[in-house]
Formats: sequence, C-alpha cells, structure tokens
Amino acid sequence: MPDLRTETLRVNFGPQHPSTHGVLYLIVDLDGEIIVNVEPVIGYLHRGMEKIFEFRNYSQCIAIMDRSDYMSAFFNEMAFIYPVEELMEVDVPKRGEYLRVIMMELNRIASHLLFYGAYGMDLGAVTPFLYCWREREKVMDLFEIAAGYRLHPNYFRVGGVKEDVTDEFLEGTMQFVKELPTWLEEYETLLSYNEIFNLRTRNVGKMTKEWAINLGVTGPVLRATGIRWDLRKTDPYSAYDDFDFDIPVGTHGDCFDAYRIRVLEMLQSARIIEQALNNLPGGPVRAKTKLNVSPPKGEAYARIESPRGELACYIVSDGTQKPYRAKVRAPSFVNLMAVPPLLKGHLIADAIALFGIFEPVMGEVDR
Amino acid sequence: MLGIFKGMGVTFKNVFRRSVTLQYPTEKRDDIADRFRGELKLHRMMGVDDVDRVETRKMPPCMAACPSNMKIREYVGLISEGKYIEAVQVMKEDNPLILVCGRVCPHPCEENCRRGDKDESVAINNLKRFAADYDFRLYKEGKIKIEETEKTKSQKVAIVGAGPAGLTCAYYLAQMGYQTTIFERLPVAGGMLRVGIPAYRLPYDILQAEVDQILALGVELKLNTSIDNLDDLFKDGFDAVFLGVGAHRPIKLGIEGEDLEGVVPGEGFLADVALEKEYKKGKNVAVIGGGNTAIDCARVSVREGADNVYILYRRSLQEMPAHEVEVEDALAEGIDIQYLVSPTKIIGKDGKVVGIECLRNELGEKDAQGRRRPVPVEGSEFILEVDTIMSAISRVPEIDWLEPTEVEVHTKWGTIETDPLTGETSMPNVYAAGDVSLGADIAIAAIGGGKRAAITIDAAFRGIDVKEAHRRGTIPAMVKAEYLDESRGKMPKLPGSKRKSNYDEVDLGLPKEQALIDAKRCLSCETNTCIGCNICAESCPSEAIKIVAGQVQTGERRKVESWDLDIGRCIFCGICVEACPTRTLHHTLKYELAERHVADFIKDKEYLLRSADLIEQEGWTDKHKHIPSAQKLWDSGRPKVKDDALKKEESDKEYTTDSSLRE
Amino acid sequence: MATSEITLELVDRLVEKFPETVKNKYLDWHTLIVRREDIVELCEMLKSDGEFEFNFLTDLSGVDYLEYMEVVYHLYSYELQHKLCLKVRVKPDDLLVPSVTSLWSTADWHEREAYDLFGIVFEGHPNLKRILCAEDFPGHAFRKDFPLENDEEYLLRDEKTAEDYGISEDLPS
Repeated sequence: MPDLRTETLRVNFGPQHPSTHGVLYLIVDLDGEIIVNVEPVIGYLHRGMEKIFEFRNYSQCIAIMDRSDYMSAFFNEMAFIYPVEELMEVDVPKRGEYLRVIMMELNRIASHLLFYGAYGMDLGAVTPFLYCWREREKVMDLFEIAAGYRLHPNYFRVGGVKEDVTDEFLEGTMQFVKELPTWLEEYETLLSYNEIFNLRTRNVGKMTKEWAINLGVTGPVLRATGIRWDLRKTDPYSAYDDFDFDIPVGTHGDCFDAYRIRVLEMLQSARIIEQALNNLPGGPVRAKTKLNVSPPKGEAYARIESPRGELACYIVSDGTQKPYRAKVRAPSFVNLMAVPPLLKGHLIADAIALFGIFEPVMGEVDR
Repeated sequence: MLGIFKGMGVTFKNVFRRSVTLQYPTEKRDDIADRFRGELKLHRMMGVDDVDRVETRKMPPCMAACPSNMKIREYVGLISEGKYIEAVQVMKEDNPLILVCGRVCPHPCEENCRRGDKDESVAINNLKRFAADYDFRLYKEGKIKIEETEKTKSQKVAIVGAGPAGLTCAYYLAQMGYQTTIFERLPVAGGMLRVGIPAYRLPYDILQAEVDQILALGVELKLNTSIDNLDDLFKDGFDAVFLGVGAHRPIKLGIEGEDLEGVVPGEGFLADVALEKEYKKGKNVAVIGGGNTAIDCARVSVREGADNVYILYRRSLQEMPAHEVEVEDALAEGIDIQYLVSPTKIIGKDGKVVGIECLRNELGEKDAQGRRRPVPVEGSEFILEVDTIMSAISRVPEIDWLEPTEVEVHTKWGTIETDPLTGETSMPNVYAAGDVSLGADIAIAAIGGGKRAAITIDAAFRGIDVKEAHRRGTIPAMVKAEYLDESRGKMPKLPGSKRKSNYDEVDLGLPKEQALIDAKRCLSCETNTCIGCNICAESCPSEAIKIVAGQVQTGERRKVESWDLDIGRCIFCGICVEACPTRTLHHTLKYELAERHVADFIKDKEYLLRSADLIEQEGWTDKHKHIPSAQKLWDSGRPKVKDDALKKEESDKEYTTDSSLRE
Repeated sequence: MATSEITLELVDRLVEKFPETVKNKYLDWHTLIVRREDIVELCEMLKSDGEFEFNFLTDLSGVDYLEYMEVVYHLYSYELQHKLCLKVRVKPDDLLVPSVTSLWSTADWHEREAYDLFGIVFEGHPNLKRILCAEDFPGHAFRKDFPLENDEEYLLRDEKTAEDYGISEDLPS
C-alpha cells in the first residue's frame, strides 16, 4: 500500500534506551510503520577528550584514550601510540609487537562477542547474550592477568608494552583460542541458523559499495558490501605482516552479512593469536623510551583496524611533552552518520536490526 | 496468633537492625590477578617512618646497569651530605680505579637513571670524579695514607696484564691478603687505559697515581715481561693465574690497498703517541669507524698537527656507538664526521696512500640487534684525498700463545670462554676477565670482571661455594639529604680553540657547590620510601594526588609532610605507580571502593538528604555535615547515635560482627 | 597490496594545475596547502579524475594555530590505494571554507564537528549546526583561546605564535 499515507508521527528514541547501546537519541519520524526521517542527536557523552589531550602528557593521554571506545580499549591505545611512534621513529621490539597483536586480537574477539550478544538481544534473542558474556569474561580475566585492569588496561606504551606477560597469561590465552571455535560453533546454532534471526536480518538494509564508501562506512559493514578492505592486510601495521589470516567478505551487503563477518573474524583472530603465541619471540617488550616522550615537531596520521572500522589518530606535535592537537577519527562516529540514510524507508521494527550492525559505542562517538 | 507476633518480631528486628548491606568484600579474592590495580598506598615516607634501614633488596637501575655494580645510590648520598672520603671508600668496594673511571667511563648508569625520565639523569660520573679528585688531593697532601696489607694467606696469584682487569683483581686479592704479581708486556702499566686513551681524556699522571695506590698495597709489578707459557707460571709456584691481557690486535678493514704505506691501525697510532714513539705524521687523515676509539684517533690527529681529519662511519649518528659527548667534543675541535659512508678502496701511488674511495649508504632494514643495516647507493662513489688512513673498527685479543694449553677459546671472536659471573675458564686455576673474554669493551666492564674474578679466586682457595660467594653484598643506603628539583649541572670544559694543540685535560671537574646540587637531585630509586619528588602527582592524568614535601627544619633531610589521594578522582590508570622511582607507591588488591564503615555512608547520606533550599539558606558546606537537623532526618526509624565517637566505635563493632556473620 | 603514497608526479600535476598550492610532506603523507577558493574544484578533480580516484574522505579535522585555522582533509582511494592530505588555511576573522559534502557525504558530520568545536563555517553545508556540544553552548570549545578555568596557557596565549609550532609557510592569500 505505497499510496496510503498517514500523518507523520514523531517518536523519541532514547537517549536512555536499552537498544541504543548508550546515550544516543534518535528522533524518528514515522509514517505508519515506515520511517520517513531519522535525526540522531549525539553529544551526551562528550567529554572534550581531544581538548583534554592538549593538556596532558602522552603517557596520560593513553590512559584517557582507553575511555574513548570502552569496549575495545587496546585499539584506542594503539591508535594513539601509532602516530606518535611514527613521529619519533621508534623501533618497537618484536616481542612487544607480538604482545600488542595478541592483546588487540583478544580484544577484537571480546568486542565481537559483545556485538554478538547485544545484536541477538536487540532482535529478541536473549540466550546468546548470556553465553557470549561467559566467553567475554574469560578474555577480560586474561586482560586482568596481563595488564591489571579489565576494561581500561593502559598497557601499551610508546615503544612497546608496559611489562612482559606471565606464563599464566600465555597458557590461558592458548587454551582460550583452542576452545573458541567450539564455542562459536555452539553459538552459531543459536543465531546463525535461527529462522527468526535469518528472516529479520537477511536482505534487510542492503547497501552498495559506492553508497558505503561515499558515507565513509568502514569495518565489518563495509566488508559486508563486498569490499576486501582490512587495514591489517591492506596497510599492515604492528606485526600483522607476519601472520597468515583471511578477511571474510560479504556478498549481499545486508545485516546478516555484517553479522556473519564478525563471527568469522573471531575465528581469524583466534588464528592470529595462535600463530603469535607459537612464534612469540624472546627479548625485551619495550624499546628504550622514556615514560614522558616528547616527539619532534611535525604531524602524523595513522590508522588501524578496530572492531568497528577504521580508527585513526591525527597528532600535531609541537615538540613538547603534550600534543598540540590530537584528533581521533572514531569509526563509530562516522558509521553512525550512515544510519539516517539507511533507515529511511524501512519499517520501524527493522530500525534496531539496521542500527545494531553498526555497533556504535557512544564513548567513541562523542569522545 | 503466635505467628503474627513472631512475624512482628522479625519485622521489628529488621527495622532496628543495623545495616548489613553495602559490605563488599575488601580483601584479596582468590581469583584476582596479581597485577590488579587496586587502591594506591605508600610503603614508607621520609621524615615520617624510620628510613635508616633500606628493606628492599632490589638493585637501583644505575647499580644494575653498572658492569661492576657500584653502589651509586650510597655514594651519591654520601656526597650529598658532604662526606666525600666515605663516598670514596664506598666506591672502592667495587672499583679501585675511580680517578680513571670518573674521567673515561661512558657511564651506562646514567643512561638508566630514572631521573632521566623526568628531565636529565643525575651526573653520576661527574660526582664520582669530584669525590675521587677530592680524595686524591688529600692523598697528595699526605693526609690520607695507604698502607701495605698484611699477607695473611699463603697462596700466590700471577696476574698477566696490568690493565684495568688485572689491576682490579690484584687490588682485591691484595686486600684479602694474597700475594700477587702482575706481569706486563709494555714498559708502562695501565693497559688500554694507558695506550688506548689519549692524555687529554685521562692524564698519565692520574693513571699512574691510581696504579701507585694499588701497588702500595704490596702488589708486585713486573714491566717489560712477556708471558708465553702458562705452565711456567704454575712451575714458579703460583697457585692461580688471572688472564687480563686485553684485546690489542686490530681487525683489518678487508678492502683493496690495505698494505700501502700510510694505512695504520688506530690502536697502534694511539699507542705510538702514548709511548712517544717515532711515527710518520699525516696531514690529511681519515679515520674509519664509529666507536670511541675512532673519535680518539681523530682528536689525537688534530693535536698531532693534522690539517683535515675525517671520520667515516657507515651508519648515521643515531646508530653511532661513540658517546654523544665525545662526538660533540670532536665537532668542537673541527673534525669532519661523515655519516653513511663506507670505504671501498684505498688508492695508492708509489706505494703510498693518496686517497680513499668511498660509497654513500642509506639505511635499510633492521638487523637482529635492531640496528638498521646500511645499504650502499649505486653510483655514489667519491674520493677523499688523504695521506693517512686509520682503521678503528674493532680489536681482538692476542692469545695465540695459549693454544697449547687447555684454555678454551671462542673461535669466532678469538676471545677466551669464561663464566660471565665468576671468570672461570675451562682450565682449573686459570681465570680471565676484561677484553680478553668480552672482546673490545669499556673499562668498567673489565674492572667488574676483575673484581668478580678476585672473589672467585678467594672462594676457590678457601674452598667455599663459588656461586655462594658472589651472592653476598650489602644494600646501598638511600639518599637522605634534601631533594632538589634543579636541572643538571654542566661539566666545565676547556674551550675548543684552547685544546687543539695540546694534551691538557679537557674536562675540568665539577665545582663543589654544583656537586652538592647534582647529588641532591638523586631520586633514591628502589628504596620503597617516598622522598616527595612529586613525580606521581605530575604524572597523574586526573590530578588526584596531592603531595606536600619539605625539609626538616635543619634543612638537610628529606621530609614528606603528607601524601593524599582523592579516590573520587583516581581512574586507576597506574601511571603514578609506573613513574614512581622509589617504588614506594603500589597498588593494593582492594578491588571495591566501597567504604569499610557504614558511618562513612551516613555522612554522605546526611548531606544528600538536605534539600536544595536548605543548603542555600544555611550556606551548606562540607563543614556543616553534622548539624542536628540533618541528623534528625536520618535518624527517623533508626537507633539514636549519641555522638561521633560512639558512632564510630559502634560501627567498628558492627563491622566485626558482620564479617563473622558472613563467614 | 600495501597502501602506497601518491606518486610525486601526480602531486606535481596538481601543483601545476593550482599554482597557489604549497607542497609539503609529513612522514608518508604528501600534503598540499590549498587556497580555499580552489578546494572544491581540486576535490572534484581528485574524485573524478581516473588517475586520482579519491573516493574516500577518511578524516576531516580542524586545527587551531591561533594565527590561522586549518582544515585538514585526509583522502584515500580504494581503487588505486594511495593517499593524500589537503589543508586549507583560513584567518580567524574570516572562517569561511567551502563544504565538500556534495562530493563525499561523509564530510557531513566531520564538518559539523569542525564547526561546533572550532567555529569554522562550511559554505554550502546542508545542515550546519552544532553536533557534540549543546545548541546553546557559548563559543567554540577546541579553540586554543577558549577560556579554561585556572588555565595558565590561556593567560599566556599571546606569547605563542605559529612559528613556535614549526609552521612558517606564508598563508595562501
């Protein structure tokens, strides 16, 4: 009944709503059940993080950067440190790089597990959330063993990592990555082969490559449209060159592809971790850098692949111990931009499914 | 009916029972990680706790970096209190050549100094030289005397080579009461210190004075004596032999035209100058290499009257092993250092050098040690017109004479295989240390090796466990004088123009006032005692730490008045703990920030129960927390609390009973 | 298939076409300082020309150098896998920069953010209003001269010039 129009109804969605993964406020205009217009209102978590950086040492910035995307703190640290290391031309020891890779990939698994649970719950499947949370807890325990904290590890340093890991961590990680495929298989029976889930995600929110690129969408959603694009492969940083792994790519560009890519990425992450653990080199974990570094004058822009997309940091240094300007290119922020055009014309019931695949973390959106 | 009363009883009990909720477990859980960043605590504070005894056994970073493990924290502390003679005594426990080391040591300790994280490292070496010079002045004036030690032990030790390793070994053995004899091939004592280091860095009289001080202990020195058979030494009645012959054979460049006249080994040149031998002086000199020897060769050439001196190094300044200060000094004397240059061919005419052909490099991939490998640039050849070429790339030991014995030699480097801790070789009663076992290395490494070999020899003679003998050692005391936030003092130097033509010492030594300031900059690392350096507060990203530090009224000892953490601001990032040089700041495993006492909640709740207009009306501040109106609001339905003291006491009691209930 | 820098020949071609442009390089990013009049034309060329094909605007950030404000564009090409950085400098009294939202939709929120935090006005933006700060927020928070509580930097701000930060190229007029 395309001709039937009713008076548009304005629905306020959020800022406090369990499905918005934080404090996001969507003003949704509805025509019956069809979404006519969406306007996201963000900034509820705006802490002026980039301004705070200008008054903090680089070492302190790392601790604050942890709080940006609180679901994948290691990526934040790496994104901030990477341009600083580029500026200072630090040679990070191999063991340090490998430990970083292990930490980041564990974090990617933790983050994707969270997505897995939360996305299922968005669509009404409560059970997977409880299961994936169990696995995520194991990763968090590993972080606590290595870094001392679960969500905000503050573990990476300019020139390497804070301290070497213990055998307990290495054994625990090995056991975890060995077990993970079995768990994932079990989980997939809960969602991937669930008929309701399939009906609600397949062919919903189809995106084309050009559309996604034009809107700056990155990460699993971009790969779902069929672009083989992962900075770990295409612009390798840290020690990703040394590992053998695949990039899962979708074909339809719909919600299901974006979801499934994440599941497959977890397996690839486990593969990387296993390789890193088997070939973990000896030696120091940190180059001889001071705690308070002062990079030379200049600017650097470096990008890494976070679980949500391309996470980059643009740092302008004036030669002091504090950055002159540090801008974070947050993938959640850019991906959220694609929500209004994507939601238009869809049913209100699909809004959550469409919104959920971008998995925005509001800490990162608002910074 | 009874049930109703019973039910009422329960209700009343619940109403009048004190709160037992909000009692989070605050002790260590079984599954909590050891690295968990819990609430911050200080171990000890200066001026508050008793700090005369240092409890931690962890080495401070400077001491750990020193190959001879000198007790740097202790002697810097003594210098800061003006006790220079005591400081020298502490130094001599680990290093008998302090006058020498104070001048030539490349001080790995300073590279690891934690003060360097804040601004610049403590001037450890300058301080050592200052105290040693002070002691030496008194010695010259006759105020300090060195007496021959009593030879209480019957064993005799032969020491081959009067270099730093041999002299050190002899010094400690003599102090332990052994008879020692040093055999030296050259007509002078000192080894590489004498023939490898130019006089402007280490004046000969200083070295000689140091050697004399060691000989005064009753050590016998035989100059111009070559040893060519170990068995002869044992036949002569020696019970043990220490090999400290050093590494004197230069490595060849391995390029075309090396046999031409005018190509000299750098060490040979330095030795010739040091021993005042005849040699052909060059006008245009190229030195190949990037180590300290290369810089020395170039600087000596300038003093010997060369017009143009070049240093050719195949990597860039960053990778250069020579010490930064040395490079600066060389540049000040007008030496042309060319980076990223490799010599390819020496050009000769009539059997003499006329030039050197070189190739420019660029830096490529990293090698195993993380140094970037130089890659030659095609077609970048150029010719440098020189008449003298010195190679100062490296040197190896001359130990062919050991071949018939059982002493094992590492074939690749030509060094003697030794146990790095004890200095034992593969042959019993033969010990070795210094360059002969390490390859070309710094003086303090040889001194450390000599010291450890002396301990081993003593342990072997007395029949005690060798490894056990190395384990003892006292903990260096901490620095107690007031802490200063000043910047590092500069070493006064002769101006560049004045030093080109002579061998006067370039570094002039710190003045006394500056030495006191520099010593007080020490952070007293790894003592587990807060000295009030403020580094934790400076490193806190959320400004949660407030520290008040001052001096005790005499103005001499460090004192921390207070150290406060605003737990509400703390984000548990752990940067302060990482930055704390004394490691007194540490995380506890307390993982919940819940208060231990219900009383602490009551205070906040009272405050929260105030309405906004009341606050405005009464000028509500923190101080007014306990005014009665608030109490009334809170106490409705609660047992009356008479006064604060009683409340505290009761809540203490309550806490204990509660915890017993929980268990 | 690692990403490469854009070749120098291509950069030179751009400089030829837009002679007022200043060429620069920061690490592996070729950087062009472009006149603001040229930015849209240049971006159109960068997007549509087969030799550039910059179809992805990675990042757009504002930087305050006190003497001038800078808008930094980080461009990327998925097809040719090269990258380029563009900069537009405007004086603080005339903060008008043409918007590139018509070329890359992703510029939308980036430009709103730069407007919100730096007060840079993007001409032609369809919906230029504050994004992170509240609508009634006074001033622009990320400017270097934005007053902070008890902030010494603010009091001493006149003592720092752009030259202190290593930027000495003349402003493109």
